[in-house]
Amino acid sequence: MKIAIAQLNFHVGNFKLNTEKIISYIERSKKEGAELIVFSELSVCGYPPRDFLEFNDFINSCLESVSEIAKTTKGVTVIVGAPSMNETGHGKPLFNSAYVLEDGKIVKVINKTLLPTYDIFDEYRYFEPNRSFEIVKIKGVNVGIAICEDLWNTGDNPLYTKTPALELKELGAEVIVNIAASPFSYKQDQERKDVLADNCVKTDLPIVYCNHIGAQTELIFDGGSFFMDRSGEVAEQESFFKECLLINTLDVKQVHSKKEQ
Amino acid sequence: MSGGIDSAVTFALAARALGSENVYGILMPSQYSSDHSVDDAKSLADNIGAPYELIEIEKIYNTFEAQLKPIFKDLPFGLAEENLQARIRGVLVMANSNKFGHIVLNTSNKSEAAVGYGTLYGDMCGGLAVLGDVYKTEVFELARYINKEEEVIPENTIVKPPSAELRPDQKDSDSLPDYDILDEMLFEYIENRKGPRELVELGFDEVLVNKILRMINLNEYKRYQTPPILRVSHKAFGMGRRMPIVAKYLL
Repeated sequence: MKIAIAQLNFHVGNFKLNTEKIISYIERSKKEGAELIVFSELSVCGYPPRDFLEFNDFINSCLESVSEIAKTTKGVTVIVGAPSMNETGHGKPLFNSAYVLEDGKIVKVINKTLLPTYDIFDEYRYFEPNRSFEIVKIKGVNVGIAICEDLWNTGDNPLYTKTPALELKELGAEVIVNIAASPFSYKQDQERKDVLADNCVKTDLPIVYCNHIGAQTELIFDGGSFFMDRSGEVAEQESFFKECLLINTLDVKQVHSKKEQ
Repeated sequence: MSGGIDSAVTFALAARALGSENVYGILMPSQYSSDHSVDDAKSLADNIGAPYELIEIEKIYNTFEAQLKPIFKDLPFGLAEENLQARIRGVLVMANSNKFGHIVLNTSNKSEAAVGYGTLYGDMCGGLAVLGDVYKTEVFELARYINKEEEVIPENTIVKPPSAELRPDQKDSDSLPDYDILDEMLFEYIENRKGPRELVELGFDEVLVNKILRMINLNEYKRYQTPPILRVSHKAFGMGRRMPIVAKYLL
């Protein structure tokens, strides 16, 4: 399966710009023959939107943007980050979600499980944590979608009790797609690589990692998106601090044959 | 642009990020500025190829003094007079900003912000604190890095003892320990969340620990009025570090 990672600079609240950017990169990716196109966490509204998430109109704009983007997904599958409404009747009003768009429709919404609420993060201020896991079949491949922090517990993180990557593996995932909004710090690139490599090794799965670039007030996003193979090696890394498209072909046969052993 | 290392590094970084033609330096020497400082600042701007203006502040300061004399009478020169100079500079910089539309870049570093060594509404003004998450010792490293290929920042700016130049012969070392020691303690306190007892266990002098912690705690109120700081470490002042103003956490 040919996968495109779109590493872009999103502007908080600027739905017109963000949507246009996403759609233009979908078109570019289609021209490159990509079958799955991945965008970052909360790409539609920018990160972090903070208390804008408390505005109904802001959320409606997010949902409208997702619909508009869905229309351009004929023949491809797109994963885009946006909030979604919590319709369970209890808990916070929103989920931090990854929308799977295919052939003009929303085929699946995956919600973030581990909500960072420390240092500059306060996601539990706005979002309800996900409690159940599922995988998505894309072009015949079982895809496990994890959002940013979801990969930061494989059992040793005292902040959390759930281990999304392991759950997704249990359900038969053959690849993990990690969409993120991970701010820069001196050590962050190395820490990210260590944590994701740990996930690869524990699940024996490759990871597709997509981050933001740009800066929002105090937070700098360095990008550093990559494809990581199942042994935890970065197979291909995108530049830092640049908008770009990274394309790689996931060897589905290799994934399947590994399973047969 | 004081001729000091913080404004020099900020200026150089801004020029790199935005282009020399898009940054604008303002030199505001007083009777307490050394000649070096003005020359160093001018050299830096010339090296970078960026425009600058010079505004002397002595006359403005004298006017302030004269107007305050009936109230201050014969009280000795002190903090008020030092801060007057800093705030005059703040006013001038903001006036330029309002007139021409430029963003004012705050040049405070993390060590200074930690111990409250800046002047509210003076050198603490600005729209963005570029070096606010960079310790003083790291500012020196950055300066050396910027000068890797050629001397952009005048050597004198880097080697002279840090000084606020708000009174005769003033040096940072008058009120602060050596930055090598200070920055290590700050790192343990801010980034590693070591409390007073743990700092002493780590080997820092007890008296120094209390002195510095007191400065850090007392000056939380200043950090509430600081421009946004570009976060480059794991724990920057700003939205990621929320402390109360009214507190007393010492040995």
